[in-house]
Amino acid sequence: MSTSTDFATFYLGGHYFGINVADVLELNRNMDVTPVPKSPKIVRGIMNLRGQLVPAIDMYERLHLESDSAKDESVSIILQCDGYLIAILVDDVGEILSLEQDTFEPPPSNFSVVSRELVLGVHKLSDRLLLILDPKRIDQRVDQPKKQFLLA
Amino acid sequence: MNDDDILVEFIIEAREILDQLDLDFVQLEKTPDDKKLVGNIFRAMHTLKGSSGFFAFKRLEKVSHAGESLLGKIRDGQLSLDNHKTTVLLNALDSLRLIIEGVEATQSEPAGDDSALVEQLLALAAGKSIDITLTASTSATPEPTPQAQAPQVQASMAKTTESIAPTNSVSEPPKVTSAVLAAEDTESTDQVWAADPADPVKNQEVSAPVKVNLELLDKLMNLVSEMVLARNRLLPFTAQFGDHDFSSAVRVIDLLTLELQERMMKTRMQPIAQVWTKFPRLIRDVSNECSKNVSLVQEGAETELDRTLLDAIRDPLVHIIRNSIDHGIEVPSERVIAGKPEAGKVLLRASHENGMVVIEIADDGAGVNYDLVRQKAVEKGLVTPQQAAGLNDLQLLEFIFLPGFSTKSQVTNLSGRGVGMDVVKTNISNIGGSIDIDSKRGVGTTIRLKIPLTLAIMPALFVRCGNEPYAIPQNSILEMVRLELGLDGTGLEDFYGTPVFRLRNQLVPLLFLNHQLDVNQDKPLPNAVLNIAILQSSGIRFGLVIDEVLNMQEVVVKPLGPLLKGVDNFAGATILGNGHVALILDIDGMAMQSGMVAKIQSRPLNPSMTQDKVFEEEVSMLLFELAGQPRLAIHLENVERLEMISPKQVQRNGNRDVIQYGNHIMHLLRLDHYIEGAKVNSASLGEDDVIPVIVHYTKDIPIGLVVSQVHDIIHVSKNLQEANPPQKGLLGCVSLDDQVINVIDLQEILMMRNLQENSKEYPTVIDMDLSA
Repeated sequence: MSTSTDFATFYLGGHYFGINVADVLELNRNMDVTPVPKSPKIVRGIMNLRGQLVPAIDMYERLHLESDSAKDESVSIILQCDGYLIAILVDDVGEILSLEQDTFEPPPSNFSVVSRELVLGVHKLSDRLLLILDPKRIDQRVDQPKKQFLLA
Repeated sequence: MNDDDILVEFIIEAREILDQLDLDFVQLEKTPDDKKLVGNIFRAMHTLKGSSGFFAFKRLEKVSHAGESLLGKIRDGQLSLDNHKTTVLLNALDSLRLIIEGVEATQSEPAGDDSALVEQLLALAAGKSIDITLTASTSATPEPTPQAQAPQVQASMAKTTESIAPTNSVSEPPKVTSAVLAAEDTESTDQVWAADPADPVKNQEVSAPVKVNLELLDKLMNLVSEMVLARNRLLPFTAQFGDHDFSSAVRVIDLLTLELQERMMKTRMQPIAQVWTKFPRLIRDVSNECSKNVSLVQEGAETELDRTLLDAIRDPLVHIIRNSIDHGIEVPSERVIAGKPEAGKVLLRASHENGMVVIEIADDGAGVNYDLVRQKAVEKGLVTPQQAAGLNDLQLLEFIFLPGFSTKSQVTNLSGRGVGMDVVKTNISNIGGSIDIDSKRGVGTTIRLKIPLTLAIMPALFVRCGNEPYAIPQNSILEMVRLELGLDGTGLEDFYGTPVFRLRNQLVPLLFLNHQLDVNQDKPLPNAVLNIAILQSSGIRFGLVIDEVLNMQEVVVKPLGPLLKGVDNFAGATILGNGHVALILDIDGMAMQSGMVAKIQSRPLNPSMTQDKVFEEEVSMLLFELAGQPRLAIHLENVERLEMISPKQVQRNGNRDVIQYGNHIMHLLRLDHYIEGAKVNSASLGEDDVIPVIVHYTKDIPIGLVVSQVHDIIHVSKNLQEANPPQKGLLGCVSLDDQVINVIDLQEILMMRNLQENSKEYPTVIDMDLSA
């Protein structure tokens, strides 16, 4: 029995992230995002995915990442998340990696609370670390502004 | 298929059976000798019993079994069906329905005791208690009214409240009941098998529809509309490439998409009969309760309507029908005196009209009692007695739609609580429909509902705020106003912290869309030009300041999804032709959220105009100009549209000027030829000029009235000062702001024109000398 899992990887603010490919529906470049005034900060707006409205998540806001320049994420990753779709906006996408369970480690304890809630753990690659995100947690701070999930 | 699925199937089936039984029973009461119908009812009841037994739903099984026993006797001719038996059987149906609803909610049978009902049914089946048990009861009140009713009636109602009625009130002791039950069991089973051979035959007659999940339909619908957009992007390429094979392939796709779209729309449509099936039963119950005799006529039950709309019109229709029976139809004795047949008639008619569905509910009752409405309006302080005396029937009908207005002096189960037509009106306008009442004393009342075919598509006005377009649903827009600040003293004023402006001497509060949406906090400059959409929401009128008015478009409404549910300002979003997403403003939500509604309700802006202003005798007129007659007006009701036409469009038809107008040829009528004092303008127009034309329809035929200039809509007193001696083409004059405005007499003008035309007609007989 193989323990390897496929991860779709992407770049955001200099970090390298991965999401289980089973949760990823598709990738799109240069989709139009219509801003929704007065929406939660992490929702950049909504986009039209073949007739379906999909909320676009500002991952910089979501992960509390500092962005030094104007945000110009060009790629949106459409995720299947609890029965509906969300799009996360990222800087760029990497390749799909098939990784064994043995390089995986739970998040270090000095991670910020925000990140710990979202990051399932890290895969130690030869040259850098791949942060694995939990797609089910991405939209959750919208309804629950207080930290309710301390540990995965 | 797991157990849950089977249960769901069972519930759906049970509901269908119950709906059908409702109809069949009422039908059976009319034609008690219809053996086939009794057989159908019996089999339906038996099916229900069988399925309940399978799920071990004891209550369902017992009640349906008891019902089946009684039905078995009726089918065999041992007993005949009468009103009492029908009432008890219908009660049993209600009871079954309640249990089914309980099963649906909790996946298990709700607790409760139906022994009283079961005993009644069995007692009736035994043929013993007809004369003693139920003679006092013709009622099928949904809520028990314990005093004044015979104890047996209480027993029959036990099912609604799930309470246990004292069993000793029923003539049969429980022991005997169970004996009857056991005896009937074997008997009825035999009969069912005997009846069964007919079943397969019957099943073949009806083609079984396929049940499809609504969600799946919505998804398909989505895909189809997206396909339409994709096709739209594809079409320009055919011209670009000019490749014949490619073009024909695209054309095929084009046609297929179109057909797909039409078929898809159809799948969501369902016949209005779905809602109407409940009404025969409703009418029977309500008319029994009011001791009236009412028959229902349905026309156009096959008219189709979007499913969501069907659900939305159900309650309003129920309310209107109850009203018709309770208020409209007279008791039989009164009807006979009035020379009408004893049985009243309620007519339900549905039809398609101009892309809307029109539903008429007409009764042949007494009509609205206008004197009573007038009296109530005075009692409630809505108008003074003097004003009330001057109100005409149409104006009085408006009162019916006011909250808390009821002419019934006594509050009954059915009506008189004053909660009614206002709710109906709100519900109907919520789905973009409208309601009209027409009532004639002694002849009856007709209520017309106009409902859009589908909710998913609605007309909306696009406006710009900041850099984004937003859509405003058209049904909340009253008018658009362009306000130039700093022009002859017009400007924004402050009313307890709310910016307001004057629109025809009334204060209208303003909201700034850019502030509402936090787009920016710019305040208008002192000499700015404001684009204001005057909107109606939650009973108040307000102006929404927007940056720019874009265009009108039909939009497909899509929900924003769970992540953005908490955002109040938007009712949804729509996808534009170019694939961009535009948000649809939620006017009600925005008005509420701004706090304006509460503020205005506590301090009415225009206290003098709140109620009685509406009834001031004013009429709307369109102010226009002819050479030599600078201030002329025409009644607005005579004006269908205003058009600007170019002289190039004008063509000659004999000696008349006509233009192509839609599907019609529209005749142009030079008003200056017909009005005293107007200078006939014979100067020919240049190519680039435009001619303003007021379009008026007589008998669905458009006529264009050519004028020099159109100014504004004015509201003036209804009392005309008649021109004396009469002047050609003028009805009289009114004064507005110390200026005299002449009102034209359209009837006379049209008559003059026709006379002129007729005088030029060919002689009716033309002598032809054929011998030559």
